[in-house]
Amino acid sequence: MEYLIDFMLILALVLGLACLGLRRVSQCVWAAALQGIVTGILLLIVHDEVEIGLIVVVASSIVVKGLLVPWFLTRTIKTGRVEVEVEPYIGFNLSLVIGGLAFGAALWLAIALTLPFEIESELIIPVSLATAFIGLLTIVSRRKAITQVAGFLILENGIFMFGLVLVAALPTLVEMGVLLDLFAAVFVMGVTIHNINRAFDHIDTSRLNQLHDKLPSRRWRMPRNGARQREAVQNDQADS
Amino acid sequence: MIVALLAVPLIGAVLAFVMPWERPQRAILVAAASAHLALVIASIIEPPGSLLDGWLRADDLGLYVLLITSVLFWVAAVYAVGYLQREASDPRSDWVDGGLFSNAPQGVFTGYLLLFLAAMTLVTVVHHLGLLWVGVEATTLTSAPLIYFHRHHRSLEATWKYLLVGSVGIALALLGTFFIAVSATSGDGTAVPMVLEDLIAAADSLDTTWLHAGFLFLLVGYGTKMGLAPLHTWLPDAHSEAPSLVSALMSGALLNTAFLGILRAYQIVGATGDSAFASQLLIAFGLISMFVATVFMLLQNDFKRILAYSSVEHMGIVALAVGIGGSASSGAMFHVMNHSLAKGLLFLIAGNALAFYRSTSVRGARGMLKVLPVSATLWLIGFLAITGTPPFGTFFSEFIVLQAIFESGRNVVAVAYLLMLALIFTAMTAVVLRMVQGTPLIATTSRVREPLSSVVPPALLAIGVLVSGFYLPPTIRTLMDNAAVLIEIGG
Repeated sequence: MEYLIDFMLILALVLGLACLGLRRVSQCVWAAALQGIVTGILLLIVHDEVEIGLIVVVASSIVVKGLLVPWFLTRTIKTGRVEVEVEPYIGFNLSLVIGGLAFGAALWLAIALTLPFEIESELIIPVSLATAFIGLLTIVSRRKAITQVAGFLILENGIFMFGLVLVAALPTLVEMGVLLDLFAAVFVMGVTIHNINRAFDHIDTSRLNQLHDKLPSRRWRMPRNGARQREAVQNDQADS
Repeated sequence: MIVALLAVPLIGAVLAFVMPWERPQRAILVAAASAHLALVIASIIEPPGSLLDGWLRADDLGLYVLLITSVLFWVAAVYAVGYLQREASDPRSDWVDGGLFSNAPQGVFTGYLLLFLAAMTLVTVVHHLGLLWVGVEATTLTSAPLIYFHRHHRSLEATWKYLLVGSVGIALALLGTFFIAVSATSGDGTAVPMVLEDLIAAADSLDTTWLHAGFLFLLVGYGTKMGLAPLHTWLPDAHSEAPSLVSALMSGALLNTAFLGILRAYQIVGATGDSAFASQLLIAFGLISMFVATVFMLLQNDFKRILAYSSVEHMGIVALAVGIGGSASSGAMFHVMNHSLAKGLLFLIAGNALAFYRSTSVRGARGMLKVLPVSATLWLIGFLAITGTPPFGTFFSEFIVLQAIFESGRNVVAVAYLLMLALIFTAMTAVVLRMVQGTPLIATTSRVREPLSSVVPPALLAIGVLVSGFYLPPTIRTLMDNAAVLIEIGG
């Protein structure tokens, strides 16, 4: 059983890294969705006893993260005629290197932070923290709003995987609430993306830059320009 | 009783969503807000019992925040009646870039307002850390559509930033919640329930490393929502683009509920008796927020954005005060109330100014005293209140905090605190006086009629923040003191 858990964890990590390396927006969305399914299955494997509540959480998590969310996002990509390229701020190879380094850092962190109790697999904490970091990296290093939502999903998957160490402490009701909120968040984000696409004809968040503090820096420069102009005028007069 | 507190806004929201006519929608909004306020007052007089194994419980800290929320919501609801009446529903021209835009349907707007109230109520009455997270996330999701009421580019951009930054912040708070759950699990696999009272009772058995890591993540996560710098980036955009009554609610109510999330974690850390780490974090975040707010306020030309940065400043003051502890805790609680009243007042008046001048720039909104005399007077009162001028309540709360900082021996912090308050005073003076005085750029010969619904609600808030400086009803005073005791650590 432990090998299976480790295998699934590594699979989830690879899917997260894949999203950093994939060049098409829709591929990245599907990588995040598959990762969602993997984390759902992980929850089922980690539990010793299978109860009704657990099955409901696992099933709804797979349906929500693996089917509903990617279906909704790919539909937004299609109806919005979003260009397929991811367009990163940080290149694909560099992103992958950073992702790998993050896993290394997470391994070190997992050794430093000892858990007060036994868990199913030593890999849960490093993989979950690294996945959460990969999600954050995807959000900050990608221009397209859809890719950012995929990054948000990966971040949530990472946190969800961390929740695997807490099988005893977290009641089903809370897990359901978390899942419902996640879905609602992605849904609201999707609707907003749809609106952004309709209003701006793009979903490039680097071009969402109308709102900022209009600080009077230009006003400070003006006198200097004025002085220079006066100088120029005086020079002209002197020349003539 | 707790069920009724949650059910009233929820039922109101459903009714507002299905109601096809606009007039009854507004009636539902005010009726639900009034019923909610009545229920809150009733539960303060007669505290309701806990539900669901203590998951839902109305303690004094929660009730205090809930009271502020409910009062402000009621005022905003009354203001909304007139505001929505005057808002044309057909497409009109955008004053910034000239494009056409229309509003969201009013039923949707009122419905989300009530859902927002329900979500904030949930945050105040919930004592299970997991469910608390669900509530805070729900406040983000229900308030995002409110920012996008005016359907134009800028509000959409603000909504997206709010959603993404807020959701990422809250995701980190979930990780923090999980960390606390780890600290509550012992070696044999048994776990203390994630209910606040149980965690406080079992504080000695919690693993401090994980608890501190959990507090840090909760502070960063909920701090994003609360607007603590440097995590405040969504706040000026959202506050400046949302309709003014929504800005008033976000600033005066939403930020407090996010802060409540941090306070819950702080209560647990405090119970372990090893809270120096958490206190220092709060002090640091508080000072950074005040500093960032000062810098951006000094250079600000936009009167809604300066109010938004002022919220960052005041949340900084409150975080700083809670971190200092001792008598500053009661100062913090008092300040939360004063800030909500004063900021609600200012945002509602900013809405009046914006409706008349169609500009958020200070330069474009000159001569308020000539055209909007009542609003201009209230704007001045609000400015004096928010900058902590005596005899307003804010003066006393800021003074209590200052005294406590000196008592704790942190003289450098006290000097920085005073200096920043003084700089912010000058920044606000420049903005407010330039708006109140002068001649309006818009060619109007006479003053315009100011409808009662646009000046009476803010006037009520002005009276509130003025009276709180002299007198608080004994029930509210007890509630506030008890709330302060709950978060008072060290000193």
